[in-house]
Amino acid sequence: MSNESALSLQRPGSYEANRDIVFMILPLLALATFFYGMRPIGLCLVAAFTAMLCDHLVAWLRSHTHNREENSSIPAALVLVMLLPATVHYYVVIVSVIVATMLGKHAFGGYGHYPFNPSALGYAVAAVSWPGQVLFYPTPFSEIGLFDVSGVTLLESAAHTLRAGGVPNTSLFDLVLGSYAGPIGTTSVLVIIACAMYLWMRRGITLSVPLGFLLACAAVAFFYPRVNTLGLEPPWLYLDTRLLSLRYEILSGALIFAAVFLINEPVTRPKNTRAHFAYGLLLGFMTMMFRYFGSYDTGVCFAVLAVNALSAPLDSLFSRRAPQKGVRA
Amino acid sequence: MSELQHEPLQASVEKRARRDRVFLNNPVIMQGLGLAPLIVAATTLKNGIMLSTAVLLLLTPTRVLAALLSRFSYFRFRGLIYALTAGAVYVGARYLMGLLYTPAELALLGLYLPLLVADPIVLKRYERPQRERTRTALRKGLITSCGYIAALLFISALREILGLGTLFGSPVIGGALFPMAQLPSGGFMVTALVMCVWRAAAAGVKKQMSLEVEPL
Repeated sequence: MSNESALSLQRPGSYEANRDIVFMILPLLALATFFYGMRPIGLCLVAAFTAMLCDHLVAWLRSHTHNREENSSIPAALVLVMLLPATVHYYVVIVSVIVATMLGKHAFGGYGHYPFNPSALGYAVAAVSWPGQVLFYPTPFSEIGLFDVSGVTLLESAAHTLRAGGVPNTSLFDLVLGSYAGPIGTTSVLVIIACAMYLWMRRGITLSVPLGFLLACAAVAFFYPRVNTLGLEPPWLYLDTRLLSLRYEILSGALIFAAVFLINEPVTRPKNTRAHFAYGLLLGFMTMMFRYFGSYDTGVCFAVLAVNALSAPLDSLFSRRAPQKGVRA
Repeated sequence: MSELQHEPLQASVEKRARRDRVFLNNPVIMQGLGLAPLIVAATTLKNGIMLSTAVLLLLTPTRVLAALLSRFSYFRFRGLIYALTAGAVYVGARYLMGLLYTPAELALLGLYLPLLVADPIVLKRYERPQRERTRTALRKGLITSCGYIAALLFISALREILGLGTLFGSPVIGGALFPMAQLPSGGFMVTALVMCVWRAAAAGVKKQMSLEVEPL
């Protein structure tokens, strides 16, 4: 094996990992620009600038020099923007990024110490504070101005239709390409999978967390579908309805996006790699419970916040215990 | 001024800071007392004033009465004395609150009005294993009430402005700047922010006081 190939297998440092996330947000942003015009770029710039400003402010308050190598706030802010609709007000983005950076990250001691995903926290605050801004989405190719969003028709998401017991009127082709009303960067499954492959090859993410996550989500969607309110029938009956449920549940509500960008966050997921699959399973189950019984469409962010609290117990549960033989009281 | 003279002056600054329950040693900001009603029920200035009235009627009489009763009972049962006194005082306080406010207004406070009886801000003194003089209990009860009410009114007003854009129900700004401030989770955030700024200001004042007594 040559030296170059050996180096490429090394796990990237935090600076490179965060830079990779930013690079992988760019294709999603490009697609969002194609769908919604220049406004997503404006939102991302505002979010990144606010995050950097918060970092400098905290460094000034703590009388430290700002560490240029610590760039985790920018990917967190961009991931947060990807979860919001293109019509969201700039003020909502600024406040949610401030909460994510100052409260979610710096209040707990900065990068490497925070227990809850800052992006999920910022989204939760935005969704609870401004549900009218955050939970209604424009259709692709709407005329959305950079500063003016009046006159844009807003729709509820496919996840909302599922919650109401209905079937979304979106074709599989549109679902995969992301050409339906939804958040800025979470609808295009194909692009997200391509980003995931790049991040996996760069060893920025592991596959066991998203695998467990999607498996649990798929199991709940298959055995207890919301489509046509099937209930607890035997699993071999109504197979077509179950597959329909599986399709819409997995491809809507930012599940695939969360599986790549949100739940794989290296600080908040368990450090022990043997706990990753169980963490993903738990997160998937909780996500579906939040989606089935919660008030918000993007239940995955609330599930991430809830299950992040269990990362440390999962770490210790799956830690390798040293054999204790010959020890007597 | 010699070093030996400087030490007692520094100690006097600390003592002054400890005694100032309104700003430098506020029970909410510095000790985290009485947070439950502050976070959940103090969402508007009106609620804050109702809670303030309840604290005013409850805290000082409980402390004075409990300090008095502790003299005539086994001191190891002081926790029981304080709790029973708070419960008995609450009956009268609740009656007076009923005269001052309508049942609909009191319903806004929900469970957090009777829960004041079990709040550490009312009962915490029993943890100290020394008897308290009645005069001291009266003085400390009053200044603790003042400090708690100051923080309560400030935070409830701030939450109403941020969460609803109003003060006493009248619009003061264009709209709600941070609607989550009306929820308990937002209450925690606003209170934490106020604590940060308040503590920084208190630390600045203490530093200034220390500089004033430093030898030239």
